[in-house]
Formats: sequence, C-alpha cells, structure tokens
Amino acid sequence: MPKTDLSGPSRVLDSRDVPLAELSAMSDVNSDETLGRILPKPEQATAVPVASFQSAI
Amino acid sequence: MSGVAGSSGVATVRAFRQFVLKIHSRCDLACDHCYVYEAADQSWRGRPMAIPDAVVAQTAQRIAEHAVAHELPAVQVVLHGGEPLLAGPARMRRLITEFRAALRPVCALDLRVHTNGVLLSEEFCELFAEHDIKVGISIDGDRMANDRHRRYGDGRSSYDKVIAAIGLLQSVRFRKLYAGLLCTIDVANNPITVYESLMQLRPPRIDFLLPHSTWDSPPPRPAAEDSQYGDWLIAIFDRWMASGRPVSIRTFDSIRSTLRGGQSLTEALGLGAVDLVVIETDGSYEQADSLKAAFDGAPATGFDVFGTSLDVVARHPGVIARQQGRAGLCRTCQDCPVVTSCGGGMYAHRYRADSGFDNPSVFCPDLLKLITHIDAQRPGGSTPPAGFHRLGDREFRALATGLGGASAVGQLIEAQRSLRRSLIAGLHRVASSSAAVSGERQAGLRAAWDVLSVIDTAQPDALESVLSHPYVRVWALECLTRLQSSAAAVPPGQDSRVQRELDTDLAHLGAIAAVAAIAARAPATVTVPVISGAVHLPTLGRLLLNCAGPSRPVRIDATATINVTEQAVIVRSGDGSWRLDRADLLAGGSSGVTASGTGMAAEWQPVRMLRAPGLTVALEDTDPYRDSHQWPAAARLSDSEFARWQERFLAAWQEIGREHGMYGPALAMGLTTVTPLIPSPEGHHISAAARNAFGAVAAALPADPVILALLLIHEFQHVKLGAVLDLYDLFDRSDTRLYHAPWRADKRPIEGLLQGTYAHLAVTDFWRARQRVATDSASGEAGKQFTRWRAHTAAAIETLSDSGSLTSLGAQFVDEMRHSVCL
Repeated sequence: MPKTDLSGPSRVLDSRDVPLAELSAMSDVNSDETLGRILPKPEQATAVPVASFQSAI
Repeated sequence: MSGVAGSSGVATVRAFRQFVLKIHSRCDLACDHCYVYEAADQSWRGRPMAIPDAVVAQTAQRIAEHAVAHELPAVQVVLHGGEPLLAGPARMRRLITEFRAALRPVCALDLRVHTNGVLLSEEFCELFAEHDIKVGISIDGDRMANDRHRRYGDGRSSYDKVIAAIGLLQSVRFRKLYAGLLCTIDVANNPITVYESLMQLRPPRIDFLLPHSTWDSPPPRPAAEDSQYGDWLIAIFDRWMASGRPVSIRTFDSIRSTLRGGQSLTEALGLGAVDLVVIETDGSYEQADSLKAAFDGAPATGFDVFGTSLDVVARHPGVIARQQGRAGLCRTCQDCPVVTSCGGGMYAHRYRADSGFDNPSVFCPDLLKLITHIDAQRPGGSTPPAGFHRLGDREFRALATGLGGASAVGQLIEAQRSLRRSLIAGLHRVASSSAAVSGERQAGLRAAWDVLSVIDTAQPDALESVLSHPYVRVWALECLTRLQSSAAAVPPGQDSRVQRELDTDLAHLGAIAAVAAIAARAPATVTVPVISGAVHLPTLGRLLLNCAGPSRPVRIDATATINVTEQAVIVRSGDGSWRLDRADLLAGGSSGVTASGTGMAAEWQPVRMLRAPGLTVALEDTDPYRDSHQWPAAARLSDSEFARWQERFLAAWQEIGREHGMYGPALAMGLTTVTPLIPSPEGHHISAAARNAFGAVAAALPADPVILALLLIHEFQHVKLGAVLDLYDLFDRSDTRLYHAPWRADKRPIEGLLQGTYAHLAVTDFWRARQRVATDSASGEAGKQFTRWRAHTAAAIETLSDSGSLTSLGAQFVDEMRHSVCL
C-alpha cells in the first residue's frame, strides 16, 4: 500500500486561541466536526433511520 | 446494544428496522427507467397483483416477533410497489389496521407510502391522515423532464395528475402527510430547471436518484464524459448552497453528514450496515429492490414469511454482504479517500457478470467528483492548510511503534486542549438553550460561564489548569448525554431522578469556574452542587460538610454558593458557612487549610500528589467523576494508604527509568493523574484507562512496584492511542463486527482489538526488558511472559491487518506495530 502523507491535518479544530465565548457561539454539537469525533453517537436502536431505503422518502 | 443478536460468529447479526412491503406488484405507468419492470429481474411476472390479507397478517406478525426479539423501540414500514395505491383504499385500510394492531403493543410504527401519485385522491389522503402515514411522490422535474420517462403505457403524460396529487399534499389539510419528492436523474435534463421546478412544489425533502445501472448495463452518458452525473448533481448542489439550503436534499445531506463523521442517510451512500428487507406480494423475502438491476433472481432469498423468521433472513449471505462496511468493498474502494462518504455507492451499481459485486460503482467517477466537491465547500474541507491539529510524521510513526516521546505526546496534549474547549463551549450552547434545564439552573450556568469567559481572556493558563483535568471531559460528555435524554423524556421543572441528576451535573460547571477563579485570583460568585455531602473543587480537592464535631449538624442544600475573594474562598449551603484560605488551597496541602464557620466542622480533603524525580502526578481520590473506568474507583485513601502509594510509585518510576526508559518521556509528559481502584477480592492485578479521561490511568495498588510500573506503561498506551483516535480515523468506524483477541474469551470490536494490541505491544516490550535483568527464576517467568505476549500481539496484529477495516493511515499504523513486535 502506498504511504500517504502522515502529517495531514486532522478534523480537530485548533481552538486554543479562540475565546470561549466565540467558540460557544460558533459551536453546534449536531454539526461540529470536532465534537462529532468524541460525542457519543445516538444509539442506533433508539430510532429508525430516516428512510435509508432509497426508493422512498 | 439492543438490535444485535448473537456474538458467536465474527459477523454480528443485525436486526432489520426497515421493511419495504410490496402491496401491489403492477403499475399504472410504464416508465422506461423503472427498475421493477424494465431491469434484469422479472420476478414480478409470477407474483399476485395485490398482496393477500393472509400475507399482510403473517408479515405483521413476523415484524412484531422480530421487534420483540431485538427489543426494537421502533420500526419503519414502507408501503411500496409497483404502484401501492392500486391496492385500493379498502385493502389499504385493512392492511394499516392489521399492522397497527400487531405492532402497537410492541414498538412504535413509522408507516410510509411511496407512490407515483396519479391515483392519490382525497379518500386516500383522509385515510393516511387518520393513520399518520407520510406520503412520498416520484416526479422527475418539470413537464418536459417528467414526460421523458414517466408516461402511461399508451404514451400519455402523467405530469398533470402528479402535480394534482402534490397539490393535495400541499393543502392545509394534508400538508402534514407530505414526505417529499424523489427524482430520478436524466442528464439530458437541465439540472437547474429540474431543481427549480421541484422547489416550486415546496417539498419538505427531495432526493435525486442515480438511474439503476451496472457495469454490464451502464448508464447513458450522452456527452461521453465520465462524470456527467457528478457534474449534474454538482450544478444543483451549488445552486442549493447559494440559496441557503432551503430544503433537505438527502444525497447532499448524507454526504455532508458522513464527511463530518456522522451517519449516512441513504443506502445509496456510506458505509452503514443495511438494515432493510423487502416483502413481496406473495410473502417472499427479498434483499433489496435495487438488486433487480443486476440479474434475474438477484434479490431472492428463497425464504418467505410463512416458513421463515426474519432472524433467519438476517443471516442470509446476501444480507450480511451489505453489512460489512469498508471491509465489504473492493480494494479500489477501500483505498479511496472518499470511501467513508461514498461507501462504494449503491450495492447493485457495482455489479459486473464476471466479478459480481467486487467492483467500484459504475458511477464511481461521478461520486468521487461530487463528494470531493462537497468536501471542498466545507469549512475545514479537503484542503484545510491550517487551523486544524495534526501529528507530525515523525511523531505519528513514533507513536505507531508503541512509543512516542515528549514531542508526540505534547502534540496530543495540545489537541486535547482544543477538544476540551470545543466540548465545554458546545455544552454551554446546548444547555443554555435546552428546555430541560430549569430557569434557576440557567442562571447558575450563566454566572459560571461569565467567570470562565473572563478568565479565559485575562488568564488562560488559570483556566487551562482546571480544564486539563482528565475528568472534565468525562463530566462534560455525561452532561451532554443527559441533556439529550432529558430533552426527550422530562418536562422542565418535573422533579424526577433524571432531572435532579442533570441539574447536579450541570451545576458542576460552577465548580470548574470556582477553581479557575481561585487560580486566577479573580473575584467570583458561583453555585456548585453538593455531592455526597461534599463540595468538590476539581484538581484541588473536596470540602466534606457537616463532619463530626461538637456542634449540631446544620441544614445543607443540594447546592452551595462559593464566593472567591482575594484571600479566601467562602462556601455557603443551607444554614452553614465555611471559609478556606485561597493561598493554602493552591499550595495543595491539608495542613494550614481551615474550614471554619457557622456550620458543623468541615474537613478539607486535598488532592495529594505522588512525587518522583521528573514526575509528579495527582492521586485522584476525590473527584466525583473519576469513577469512569472499567473497575470501580476506591474511596478516599487514608494517610497510610497514600504513603504506600507514594512508596511504590517512586519505586515503579525508578524501575521505568532503569529498565523501560523509552516509555519514560511520554509518561513524564502526559501522565497527570493516577486514580486508585478497589482491589480485586481474588488478588488479581487491576488497572484501567478511560477513553474520555486523557492523562489519567487507574489501578489498584499492587504489592510489587515492578507490576505497578507495568500497569502504568500498559494503561498509558490506551491514553496515547485514544488521543490519536480523537484526531484520525485508523479504522472504519461503522464496522460492527467482533474479532478474536488472543488474550480474551470474548470477541472484541475493532477499536477494542486495536487498543488491546497497542497496549500489549508495550507489555511485550516490558517483559522483553525484564527477562534481561531478572534473577534466574524471575528471568524464566519473564521469558515466558515475553513469549506469550509477543505471540498474542503478533497474532492480533495480523487479525487487524486482515480485517479490511483499517484505513490507509490505520494500515500504516499497524505496519509500524508489526515491525516493533518483531524486534
């Protein structure tokens, strides 16, 4: 397998110098990719997936 | 987890949650792109037109028993065809009644119907409104686009009738039934015209479907460009984005979701396991509708509702094949940079007669172009040059060998700092807008947040000193989990256990703010919880209220107020008040800290430090969120117990320095906390690391410092790898299979196997070193341990390599592990 660039950026936003107040305003736990990596995923069994059957909506 | 049965095999058997019920096998239109009648599979010819009542009843029973067996809280049933409305209102009503009756005692039922719309009448809409059934309509765009394919058998247009049906769904009476529109793509149509014409119909949702095709029967590409379908969708995506995404478009939403680590929203994309099954009008189970495009008989299972349970169908190889995530894809797809979002596309679209489904999608160039385009539009998309944490090549490779020094761990520490800040900011945002949080608690959160925000700007190091505590992340995640469940389950103000626990957890933000204020010498007044009779100040210790003393106990509330001044920290709860000296608190010792006031005597219990040359860590036995490890946390240690810990910790660190020096720098850099665990009654060595407690390891104190050294090294491996996994995907996160781990009786998920293998890489190393230095008899034992763990670790590395689940980066990580264990 070819070696890839190991030093590629992760998906974790560097927020060390972003003021907390600003960070809160820009944060959305449902779409924030940084948080998406560590938040517990909703249990799949608790909800029916939204029409993953393609031929219906 | 409910919904998964059986763990004896490598592949787990998943419950079905979606059921496509073919209630009529014929159609009143003759669309020339229809996969049911115009594709390779012609099984419809031998089936009853309308579903018999007996099949309906038996299907409902099968689904009910399946839901019970797998403890499913809800299932979805899609009424489909052919054209389902050809079944007529009377049959439809009987069917709905049967399903509601069978499933009402078992689980929630989400019933939907998908139709071409030409027969949709007020009578049908009344029926669907009565039973809360959502309706989806197929339409391919404007009149010209729609008439290109969607015609009656005699060539007449269906457009006007479809528009009339959608008009019904747009009416005030039936608007709630309107699920959305499905549009099959024809690249001969203008994409913007199609999009705008669909938007005029004000749907709540749209999806664009690639026409079912295979490598043997490829899609038409009039312009002879290899990504024409991708370009077509990109044109719509760009218009959709420029318009502010005015409607949900499933394909785009799914790609955007998976690009940020979320779930796919359609079987046509992503690595998620398929959990749907089709029931035909004769009661036959079929795997998936789309397989009709592959070859005659492709969807068949050979089973039906009268002879076979759904659990048996769930074990059908064809069903299992579509639940393998990344490992189920061809090599080209596995190595593709967009595999997580694409997932190889629709299963049927991979088919080629000579190689089956082991191919990329026939739409591969289109999907690659579309996903790459969407990725590039995101903040921090495919080319984020800065602003995101990264591990250097050298540091990544060093960690992959099982080691990693101060530089590597330092990079992990900095990323963890960002993660905690994002987490606490996200928690604040969710809590401050949650209906589940009382007004009083909201006020407390605002006060704490104001303190944190001011200190963050004025003295960020003071804030970091408390945010870096390992159990802050554990606490924040617990709060978010409780907020998610409380929002759904508990009305605000209702005095339930769930509500009280949420209230207590959220109030802990005040304790974090208080510690930051104490460290910053900043004045502050915050509310904190009283947990188990104590006020907790994370990283500093706890104040046990109402300890035994000469005076009578005073009334204590569920919360306390902390007032931080230049010199003192005043704690008030109920009728009691206590004063702590600020400087003494920061100095860390218990001596000199007085807790005096109007209440009964209180005892300040500081967090004590374990000290060795080059390493000082907190012995954490007070934090209320420390009990987050695999084994239960010990209670507060006595002075003599602490002295034993100090003695053996020093000896263990000396052992590490003497014999395992390569592990020292990482530990010195990243280990901040050791949490005592309750010893095993059987005398086994017990240790753990919690996935969300970076910097902490937990252990029951072993008698031998050499063993303590081993436990510290072992558990810190988990800490390092967990932090790497926070940054990068080393494996397919949707892989739900279980794998054999040579050191355990039970099978492990892919992350568990990787974690165990990485930890045992260091264990192998440890015994390799011990066999060189131990005395004769001990050397023999060390040699046995080395041989055992090297064999186990090497075998597990090969299991990981063969899993098909490793990402390209993960494969390189495991390669480095392999080199290490072979040394």
